This record gives sequence, structure tokens and C-alpha cells, in this order.
Amino acid sequence: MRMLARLFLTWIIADLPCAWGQDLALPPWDEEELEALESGELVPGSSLMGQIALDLLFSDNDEPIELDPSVRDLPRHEDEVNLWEESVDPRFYKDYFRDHPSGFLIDPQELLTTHEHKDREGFLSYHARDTAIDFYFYLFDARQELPEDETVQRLIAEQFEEEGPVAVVFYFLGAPERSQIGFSKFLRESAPPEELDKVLAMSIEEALEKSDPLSQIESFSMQASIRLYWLEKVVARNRSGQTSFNGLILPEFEVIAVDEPGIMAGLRSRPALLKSLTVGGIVATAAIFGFLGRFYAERKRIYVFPDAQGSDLLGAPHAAGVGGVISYASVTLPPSSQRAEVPNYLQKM
Amino acid sequence: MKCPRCVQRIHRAASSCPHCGFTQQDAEVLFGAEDVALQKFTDAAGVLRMKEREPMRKLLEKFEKKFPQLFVSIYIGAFQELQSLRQFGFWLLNRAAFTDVDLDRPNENGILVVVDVNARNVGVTYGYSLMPYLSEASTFEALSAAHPSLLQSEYLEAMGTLVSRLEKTLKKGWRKARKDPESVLSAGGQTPRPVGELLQAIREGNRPSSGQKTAIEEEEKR
Repeated sequence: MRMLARLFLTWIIADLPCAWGQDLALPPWDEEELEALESGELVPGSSLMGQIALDLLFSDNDEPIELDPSVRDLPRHEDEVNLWEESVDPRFYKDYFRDHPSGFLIDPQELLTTHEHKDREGFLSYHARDTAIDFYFYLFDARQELPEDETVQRLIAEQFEEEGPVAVVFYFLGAPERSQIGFSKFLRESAPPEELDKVLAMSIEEALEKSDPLSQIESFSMQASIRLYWLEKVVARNRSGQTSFNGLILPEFEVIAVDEPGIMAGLRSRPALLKSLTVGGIVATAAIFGFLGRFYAERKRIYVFPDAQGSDLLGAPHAAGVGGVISYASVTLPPSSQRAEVPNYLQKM
Repeated sequence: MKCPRCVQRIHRAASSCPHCGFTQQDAEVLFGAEDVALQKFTDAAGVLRMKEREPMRKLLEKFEKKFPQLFVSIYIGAFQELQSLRQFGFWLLNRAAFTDVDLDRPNENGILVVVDVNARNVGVTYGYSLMPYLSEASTFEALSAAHPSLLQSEYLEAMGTLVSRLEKTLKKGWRKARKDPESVLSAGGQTPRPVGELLQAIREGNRPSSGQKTAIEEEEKR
């Protein structure tokens, strides 16, 4: 069987170049074409030329060809970007500026694909769960201009002012440098302006390091999320004397802001647990010391037996305690098998 | 309690073995009727290296520090024809005058370990005071623990294991005796000694007089 396979493979390998050579054979010249070529009537490649070029080729005119103005002025294809409207269609106004958003990513023009939308929406939702500052992301196209009188601050005033700590970004897909950011009143009053400005500046800087619009939006949102997390710390530090952070985040802020380990602060908030842990720690420490003390005492202990007197067993004055006798002659037998219990009168005397 | 000759059980007050009639005098017929001078550690067989002898002595001193009334003696011999290791141990602990053991540690409070390196046997004998705490079973258990080292002829290590096991057994007995001394002592055939007699509890007549020949010398000469 193996031999047959070898023969088959040999035949295939030997026959392959022949078949390959047949398929790739060059077209042969016929006699007429060869004569036309030698006489100059046939120029190789001329069949690909247009009539004007052929006329010029076979004429003696060496002057440069003047293109037909109508041909030269053919309209150029516009960039794909220009196909988009530079203003936001009024039918999207309601979703952008009037209704309160149902999610953290607002993209009524569907600039992102469904998958990309879910991806970004998921990230913003994660951010909302992880930090106290909600982050709303409004998406516009690169060249789109906002409608007159519509600003990020107006949107915040109308939609988010009463919500507590909120950051709203107007992001222009493919043009992160045009992005705008606004903060709710709570944040404006709690954080220094330079800290607020830093959020947008650093996010744009991060986004511009990427060339792809999708990578840009990803970098932008991630950096903005990080900056908002730090902003949350700043706000907590500034408002540490307050008892609430609109009922949302002050307990968390307390944990972060104080200059003590987070675990201890958490334990202080649960006195019962702290108390039981303290008692447990004391008991454990006492047990360890007790164990060590006992171990040390055992090592140093002196064993004094009660004084006793016995009879003269077998006529012996001092000792009649006959203990065990063991043989260690055999390395294979266990100790129990080498117990010497044979009476001496059976041994050699 | 067992007879050193016939290894049969005997009553703790028997003046002679009811099975074979063995007494101390029978042992003296075999090994001599005179006391013998002995150190608590004797390597008559010469199996221990010089550097092993000092640790062996320290091992015995450590035991004595922990048990201020007791002592352990180790005799390693190379006997040509020792008839009975049990009888020899029985006889030796009754006739030995330990020159390096304090007088307040009488032979009644001693544990003697005898090793016969020729026959490759080891036996333990103990005094009357230790009968409530030690037994043939517990001493055999201690010997079994030392057995692997004995097989390798590592006598220092073997004796270390043996003494350590004996210490454990004695500690157990001490705890029991602390709770109920009378029953523990009576189980070992002992009665509490009156306080007035304690001061007289010194070994007398256990030191050999000058010119006496020892049975050990005779045995080794043989």
C-alpha cells in the first residue's frame, strides 16, 4: 500500500511541471504579425491606445498633447465626509436636546454600528456603576455644527441639573478636538475649574494619539472615565465635612478620602464587626502566648515523683523491673518479630 | 511483672518465681555475688567514637535534670557468651555502684539499658520506684522506636530515641500519679514512703570495696 502511494506521488510530481508548462505557454507570433512588427507597422501595446493616441503615435508631431478642457475639468469625487450634512437634522433634535436620555450613549443618527454602540454603551454603564459621577456621551459627526442656541451647558441645565454629579460630553466622531464637556452644578461647585478643564483636555490629548475614529472614541471615553474618577476624589476631599453627596456617594467618598487604610474605615462603620474582630484578635493572641508559655514551661518543667518504697521482689535489693528486650540482628524482620521472649532455660546455658 | 529467667508473670510480692524458682541468688551464681563499680555510661564494647561519647553523657544529664530523682544508665558490652540479657540487667542494676550518680538517686530510681553488640540485643531494666510508671510493654515500645537506628549501629541516635520515649512514658505516669498517687503506686506494688525515712534513702553498700573483682571484668575476660 505504501509502495502504491509512493508511485502515485512520483507520477504526480513528475507530471505537474508538464501540465503547468502547457497552461502558461506564451502566445506564438504568426508570420504576418512578425512581418508587420519588423516593418514598423505594428507597435506592441498600440491596441490598448485610443484613436487620438494612435494618430499621434503614427504622425511625426512631437508636440505635447493638449487635453480637451471638458475632459480636464471633470468634477472630482467629493470626500465621503462631505456627503454628510454639516448640520444636525432637525428630526434628531428631540432625541438630542429635548428628551432625557434613556442610556449613557446618545446616538440617534446611528453613527456607530450596533456592535460599536453596544460596546461603548457597555463601557459607560460600567463607569456609572463604578463611580459616582454619571457620564453622558452625545455623539455627532465630525463636521456637524450644533443647532443655534443648543449648547452643552443648556442641555445640562435642562436635563441634568437636579441629578447630582453628572458630566456631559458632545463628541464629534473623527474630530475629538471639537469635543465639548459640561458639568452639573454639583460638580461645578465642588471641584476647582482647572480640575474640570483637565478632564476634557486630557481626553482629547489621548484620543488624538489614535488615527482611527473608533480607536479615538475609545481612548477618549476611557481617559474621560479615569479623569472623572480622580475628579470624584477631589470632590470628596473638598466636601469631606458634609454628611451626604446627594445620597449617593458620600459613604464611598469617606472611605477614599481619609488618610487611613480603607479596611479600617470600613470596620469603623460596622462597630459590631470591629468589636468581634478585636475580641477575636485578643483571644487569638492570648492563645498563642499561652501555647508558647506552656511549651516553654513544659520544656523547663521538672518531674518529681511521689516517694515510695517496695518489697524485695525475687530477693533483689533495688530493682526487679524487667523490661523489654529486643533483637536487632535482622534488618528485614520488624521489631515486633524480634521481641526476645524466649525463657532463658530454653537458651544455651 | 515478669520473671527475668522464665519470662512468666509473677506476683509483685513474690520472693521467688513460682514457675522456675528464680531469685537474685540465681543471678549471682551466674554473674557474681559482689557489687560492681560502674559509670552511668559505659562503652565496654568500644562502639562509640570519641565525639559521640560526650553527647551521650549530656543526654543522660539532661534526663537527670528533668527528673531529679531518677537516672538512666547505659552499658554497651561485647559479650562472648551472655546467657541471658534479662538476667544480666536484673543482676547489674542490683549490684552496680554508680560512681557518677548522685547519692540521692538510688538504684531503685534507675533505668538500666544493656546493649550486647555481639548478639545484637538490647534490654531495659528498672528499679522498684519506677515499677508504677514503666512496664515491659512500654519499654519494648521505646526500644522499637530505637530499632531503625540500632539496625544501622547508630547507638548514640538509638539511645537518644529510647530515652526520649521513656521520658514521654514517665511524664504520662507522673501526671497520673499527681492526680491519684496512692492508686498509681499501689498498682506498681509500691507504698508511699513516710517523710522521716526519706533522708535515710541513700544507697549504702552499693559501692564496691577495694580489691573486689567485678563480674563484668570476669565476663569481659572470658
